Amino acid sequence: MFLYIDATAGGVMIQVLLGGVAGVSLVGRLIWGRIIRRPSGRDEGDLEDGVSVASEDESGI
Amino acid sequence: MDAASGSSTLTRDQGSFRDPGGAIYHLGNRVLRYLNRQGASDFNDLKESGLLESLLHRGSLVPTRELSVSEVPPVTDFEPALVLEHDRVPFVSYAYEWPFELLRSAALQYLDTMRVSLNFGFILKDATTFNTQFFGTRPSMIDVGSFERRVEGRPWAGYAQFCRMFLNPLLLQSKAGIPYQRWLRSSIDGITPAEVAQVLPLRRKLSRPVLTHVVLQAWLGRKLEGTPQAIKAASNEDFDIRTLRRLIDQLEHLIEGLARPGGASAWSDYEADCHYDARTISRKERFVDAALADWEPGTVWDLGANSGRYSVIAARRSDYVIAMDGDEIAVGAVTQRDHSFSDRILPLVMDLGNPSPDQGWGEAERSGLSARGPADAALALALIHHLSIAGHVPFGNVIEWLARHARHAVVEFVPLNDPMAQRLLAARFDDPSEYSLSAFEQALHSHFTVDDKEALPNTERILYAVSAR
Repeated sequence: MFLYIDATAGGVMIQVLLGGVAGVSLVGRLIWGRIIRRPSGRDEGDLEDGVSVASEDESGI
Repeated sequence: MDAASGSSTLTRDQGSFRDPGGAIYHLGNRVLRYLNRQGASDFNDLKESGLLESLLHRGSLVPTRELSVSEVPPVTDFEPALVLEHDRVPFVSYAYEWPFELLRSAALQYLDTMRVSLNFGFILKDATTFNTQFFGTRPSMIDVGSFERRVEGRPWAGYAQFCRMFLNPLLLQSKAGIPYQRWLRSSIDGITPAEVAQVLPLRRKLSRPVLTHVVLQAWLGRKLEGTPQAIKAASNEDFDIRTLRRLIDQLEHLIEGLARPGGASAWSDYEADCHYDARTISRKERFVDAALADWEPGTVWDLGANSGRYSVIAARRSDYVIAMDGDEIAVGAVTQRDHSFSDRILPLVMDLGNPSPDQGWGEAERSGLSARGPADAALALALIHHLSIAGHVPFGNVIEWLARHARHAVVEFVPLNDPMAQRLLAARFDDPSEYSLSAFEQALHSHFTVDDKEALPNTERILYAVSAR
């Protein structure tokens, strides 16, 4: 994992997007997962379509 | 990194505590970087890769020499494995003091350094403006600890910081016409994409680079902030170096195309409007030149420098000139002035009525203006009446401040009936009754001895060359 990371989600996501179609797809799934999660009020956890975010460590970044 | 006084005691730089690889110390006027084992290992890696030499050769990194631990005094807080000595920065400054041209120059140098680093398999792990200093108008990076081996597949961790600290302030000024200095002074971590997006006019947001690096970044941040799992998932993607190179090219192209907006300020046309004739200007220039020739100052502060006419004269008679003015447009004009002292005149935006304070953690990371003085000499030409009339600061206070910040000074008295003073008085409803030549000279004599005095022809202005008591 990172020894240093800028905690800004936007900064990482822009680079993901610039990576091409796969990146656009991932970002789309992450945002969709966030959208559908909000109405249910569930905590952030594993996202749909097998996009594994594995750890439940929310101390995160 | 702030210079110490002339003492020969080793003192730790109060702002040097974030680097896990070591710390900066000052030994008199020498700047020493003590590295622990990890820091030394990283530095040797940088050296052996050839990147260090390349950066030094390009002038991108402050001149740096290796010393043996036995050559320098020991430190007690850790066991140093290596010590580096850096050239001392003549006058430490910060992005919230830089005019547009200097920040732009620093941003382009940063991106160029990133590009070179990638060629050697390295990357800059952070992107803070505090790692750049200026020698005149030439930027130079000062933190060797910022370079690390790039791990294949990882994103550029410093991208968001680059946007906050370099790109967004430039966009704010270039695209929205808002000078960024006051904003950055309060927000030393930079300006966020969301903030810039809020103030940019719609038509300014519609270019692809601005849409990407500002609007989209702000939107994605809003949507996904507070979701560390999402960030981790994204970070596990394989980030190709070609994508990173394209990103750097994009940012560079964007910044190269940014220009300061046109237009004048209240004082940017001062040189043309100041009512001096050629004879008066010539006498004033000779007086300043003669005073400085007599004092032989190292550092000169040109206070209220406007577009730098007298800064250039001072540069001929000194080692280094800091050209300060609260008018950002005028300071920008200093960078465009045609002269041969670009490495010895540092133009800074500085409102003397509210100069840069001590800032950062413990109010000790970034030095205020006072802590970076005193100057050997100061020019206070057509300045004091601004502070006294417009700023409502009594003569005595201004002159006392001057005596604390400069060993010698050239000071200009401007009477109330002077056209420029009348311009300032137009904004006042009261009568500054304490403003008189006798009060001025009394205040001057309280703190200085007068070495020379001359009335300027065709005006009622008087110049004084003074030395602090």
